[in-house]
Amino acid sequence: MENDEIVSKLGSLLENLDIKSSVDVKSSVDIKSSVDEATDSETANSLECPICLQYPNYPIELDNCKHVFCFLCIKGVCLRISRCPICRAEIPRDIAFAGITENQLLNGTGTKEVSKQSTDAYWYYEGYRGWWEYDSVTGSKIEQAFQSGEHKLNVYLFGYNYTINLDKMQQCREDSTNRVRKILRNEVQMDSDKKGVAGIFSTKNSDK
Amino acid sequence: MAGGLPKRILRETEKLLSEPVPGIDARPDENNARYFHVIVNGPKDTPFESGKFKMELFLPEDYPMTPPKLRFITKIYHPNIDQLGRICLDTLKDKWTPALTIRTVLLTVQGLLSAPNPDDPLANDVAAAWKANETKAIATARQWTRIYAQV
Ligand SMILES: [Zn+2]
Ligand SMILES: [Zn+2]
Repeated sequence: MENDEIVSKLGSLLENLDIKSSVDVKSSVDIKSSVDEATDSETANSLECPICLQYPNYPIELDNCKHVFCFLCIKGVCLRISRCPICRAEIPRDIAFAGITENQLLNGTGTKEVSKQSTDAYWYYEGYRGWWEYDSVTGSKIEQAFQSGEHKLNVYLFGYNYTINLDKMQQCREDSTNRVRKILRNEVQMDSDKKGVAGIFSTKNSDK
Repeated sequence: MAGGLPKRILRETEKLLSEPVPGIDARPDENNARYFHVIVNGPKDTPFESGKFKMELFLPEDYPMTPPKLRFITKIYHPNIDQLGRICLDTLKDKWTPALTIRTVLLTVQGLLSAPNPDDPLANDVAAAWKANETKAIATARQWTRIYAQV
């Protein structure tokens, strides 16, 4: 079989699967509801990120081909190869390395709202000259672990595993780089020192 | 460990179990959610017909950024599969994209059984034999299926 043929077959398969899978996700909600707290109400929507197979969080549409992904998912791809996972069109490496601004997200903000308890706090990680807020899903996961007194947890972000150490208050990427960053918990939303969310520059109170 | 398994893997697994690929049985190991036991039925009208081919599939740490690792356990006479069961499929190597899934990979493997490609071989001797005398190669493949691929 010709490779191109396989690829194009897969392409059309993927399209069919995409349509189907959004239905599946709905029907399997009952079975696995424990793992899907944050996402299931939204997966009823037909839009699904082809990388995490969930409703896109901080969705971004690629300029050239108009394919839509979570910002964090496409960033993960972009850190490895700067091509669209669906059509292999070239994509700007800036997505991963320079970050984007809020305005570049689809529908302005597109943030997935995770229901916050009144006792919940905001979580940040250290960036160059300031702090990044964790994306809403990861933030609430860390807060949950924090409140139940765990010392450590693992989170999976743009294709890398990170260990969050709640005793040392730092995150560490679990690969050869072992890059460590400080993390921070704040009862209220940080204002002036916050760069944005997870590599997406805030446009509200930044000078950028 | 908290949050060890990415949700995508859970989703894919759920779906593979609730809506299996026709002709393929894939289920995760009881002790390792990243390791799948796979049985592929040889497609109809191929020398692999009525064979049941055991495979193993493993999802590495950074899946889906890197492709699943996949191997035939059952011996198979096929120009694109070597003696160790390794498969020559570019979607499992440089053509991998994270938009592909376990399901699409398994479908591709099924496709490879239906359409052996001796021009892009991994098992060089098999490919050479296949090109030199296709009828004979197909007979051998059929024989191997009868001998080895019966679960
Ligand atoms: Zn995603
Ligand atoms: Zn694209």
